[in-house]
Amino acid sequence: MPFVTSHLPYTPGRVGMFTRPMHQRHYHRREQDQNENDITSRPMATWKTYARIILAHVSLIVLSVVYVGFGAFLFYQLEQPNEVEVRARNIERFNIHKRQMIEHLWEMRESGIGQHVVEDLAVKYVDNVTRILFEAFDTHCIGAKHLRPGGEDEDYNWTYMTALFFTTTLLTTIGYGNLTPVTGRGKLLCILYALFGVPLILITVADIGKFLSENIVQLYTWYRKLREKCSKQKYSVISSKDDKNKEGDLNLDHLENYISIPIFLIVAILLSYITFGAVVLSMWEGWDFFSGFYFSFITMTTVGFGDIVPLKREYYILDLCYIIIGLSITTMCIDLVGIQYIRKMHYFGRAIKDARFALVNVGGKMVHVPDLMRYASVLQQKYGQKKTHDTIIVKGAYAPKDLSKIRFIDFGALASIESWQSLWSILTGRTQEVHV
Amino acid sequence: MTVSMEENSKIQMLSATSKDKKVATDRSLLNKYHLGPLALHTGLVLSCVTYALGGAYLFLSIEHPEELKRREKAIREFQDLKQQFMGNITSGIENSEQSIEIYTKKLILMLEDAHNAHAFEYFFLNHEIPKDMWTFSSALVFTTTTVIPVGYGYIFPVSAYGRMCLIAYALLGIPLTLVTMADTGKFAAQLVTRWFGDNNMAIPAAIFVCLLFAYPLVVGFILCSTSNITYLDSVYFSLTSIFTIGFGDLTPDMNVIHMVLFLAVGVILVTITLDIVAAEMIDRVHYMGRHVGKAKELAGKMFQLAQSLNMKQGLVSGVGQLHALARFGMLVGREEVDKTQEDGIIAFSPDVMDGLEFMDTLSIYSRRSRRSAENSARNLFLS
Repeated sequence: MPFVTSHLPYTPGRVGMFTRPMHQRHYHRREQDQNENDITSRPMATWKTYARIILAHVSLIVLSVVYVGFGAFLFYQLEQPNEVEVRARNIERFNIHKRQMIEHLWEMRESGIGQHVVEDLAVKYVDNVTRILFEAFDTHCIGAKHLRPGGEDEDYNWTYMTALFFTTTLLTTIGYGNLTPVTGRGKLLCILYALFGVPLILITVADIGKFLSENIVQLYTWYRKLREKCSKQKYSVISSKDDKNKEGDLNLDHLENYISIPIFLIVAILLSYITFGAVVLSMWEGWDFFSGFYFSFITMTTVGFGDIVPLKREYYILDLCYIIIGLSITTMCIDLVGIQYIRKMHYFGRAIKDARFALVNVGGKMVHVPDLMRYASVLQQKYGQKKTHDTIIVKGAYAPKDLSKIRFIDFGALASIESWQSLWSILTGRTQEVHV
Repeated sequence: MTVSMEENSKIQMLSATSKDKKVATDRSLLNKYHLGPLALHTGLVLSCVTYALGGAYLFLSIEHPEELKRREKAIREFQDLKQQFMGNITSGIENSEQSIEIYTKKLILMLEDAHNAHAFEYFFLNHEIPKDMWTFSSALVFTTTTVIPVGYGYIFPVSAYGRMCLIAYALLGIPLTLVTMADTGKFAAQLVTRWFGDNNMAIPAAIFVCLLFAYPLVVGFILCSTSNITYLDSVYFSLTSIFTIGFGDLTPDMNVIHMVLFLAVGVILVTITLDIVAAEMIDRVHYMGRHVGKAKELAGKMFQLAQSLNMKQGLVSGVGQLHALARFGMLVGREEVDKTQEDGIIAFSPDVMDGLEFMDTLSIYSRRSRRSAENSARNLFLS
């Protein structure tokens, strides 16, 4: 999350919650990494800093890719011989019955038996061949081309590329089902492989999604600051009791802006990506636009019926890249929008304030508690020495002059504001859902 | 135990110093919201159930006429193909080789459509009237496995209108269902955390991981007993279902209600386990290399503190805590200003450490000495 700090000077003796700024200075916002480098006492080379940050992500992605690739190799080794065997057996069975039917009908015709008897016998043979054809088709190994003379070895289901497609859609929990393990060992491998691989891929995709969500929030923050500069509109901090309601409206407006606009933006990003995928996939596979959109949607939500699957094997790698990026975008949407709603709904009705998403009025700026704690952690690390509790002697502890006044304002105002904020957030969320 | 009771009594004494009006307000507020969470959670579950049932009726009404139309067309096509083939092989036996090849090709191509394969299997091979693919039970399984989102693909919409409805249905249904299951999962996680471990998350994590391993095996055994598939296939089906992979290559005989309950409980279990075990891993990997690792720990600690304070003492202490955070933020702002001045670096003010110590000593579950307890009580009173 972008780092937010208070820009107002602090004057001792004033009530911080409702301080009116004497003069407001604007500090140029620095990059987060540079800020941390300035704060930490021990200087570190820039490349080392970035290497430490990037190394974990790259290691996780490489581990996932190796896991998927090796799994594809294993499934190919286990399932491909079985497919060859099943196909050969069914084709041989079909050829035997075809030859028998032709020879028998030929003998019937030569021996001069009546036409009616020949037709009855032909019906039986046709039904038998049809049943054999259906059973061969039901194994999912045989198509029309394989039943031609000389077509036995064409287009096996299990190649390394199709196995790679299978393992990726398995671990991302899409699961089209167009290609599944049939042997017992293949199914056992599938159980163990999914049990350890699904959390790994979920962590990787969630990591990429979190990276995307941080970038989206940062870009949106820059956009809002730019818009505020253009409009040249500044909020003044309220300092009297009479403006209590106005302050409530200000807080609600701030909170509403934070929640509502990113929802539209995120839904727009998601639908744009699905539309882009629909256009590209319809070009690759020869589908119409709606089929491509339908396939993209079913894939991004990891439903994966398998009624429409890509068939052009030369585009499988590109399909997989599209799927992984799409899942990361979906995770980004869940990370930005969904978790807040889950927390709000879970704690609705109790007087529990989720500290991680609370907005605290610090010197006139609405600051998130995680940002505050993050900055506190940096400070603690900078001034690393800790005083033991036994040696702390408080002499002349700071006692504000308006102690009773502070107490009065806090208990009344904050309680009502938080209750209304919580209720308004939930109502706003429901309204947004209706709009979506 | 003694220290915590003493701290409890001191905090109660401090809250007793508030006005009676505040206490009355807090009590009325708690009474007012007593039925709130129960109503919301129950409303979410009922919304999901209603949404699934309504969706089943919707898709049944859309797709069933389409299915009947396609079935009649398929049967007619098969009969025509068979009559043509019969005519060819009985009239001229010389062309039988070519006739068989043409018949084979056309038959396989027709069977690649799922509706055609279904109608062919019942009508021509078993000589029965084909069963409907879209019944209310199968439609309910379809809508449930869409929003969870497992997606077996046993049946799926084939008309354009059905697919459009599916996109809109899933776009609204999947977030609703995931929020409901996450809410239920969080409730279960809180129960287990409260029973087995207060501050240590290792024991609940181990419990959920063991449950996650045991659930497919137990359900696999039940399926193996009631249905006609082997134990390996049952475990395979269970695992691919609760991980929402959903190949759909196996169709065990199962009651619809049992199927829905099995899927819901399994997916909730997977969600809880991944939330407890994997979420920490995700944050650790993501924030590795930056100096914000402690912020997660501190935020969690503050969250736990706020939760315990608000649940036990009402709004008063919670608001005091927020005020302490605000006061701490002012000190942080002061530090920011001091750092940017050009007149020289001013020495670090110990007020920040005082604020840190203030937040630390408010923790109810930490065992501290009596002097520290008195100090925290005084700081709470000052705030």
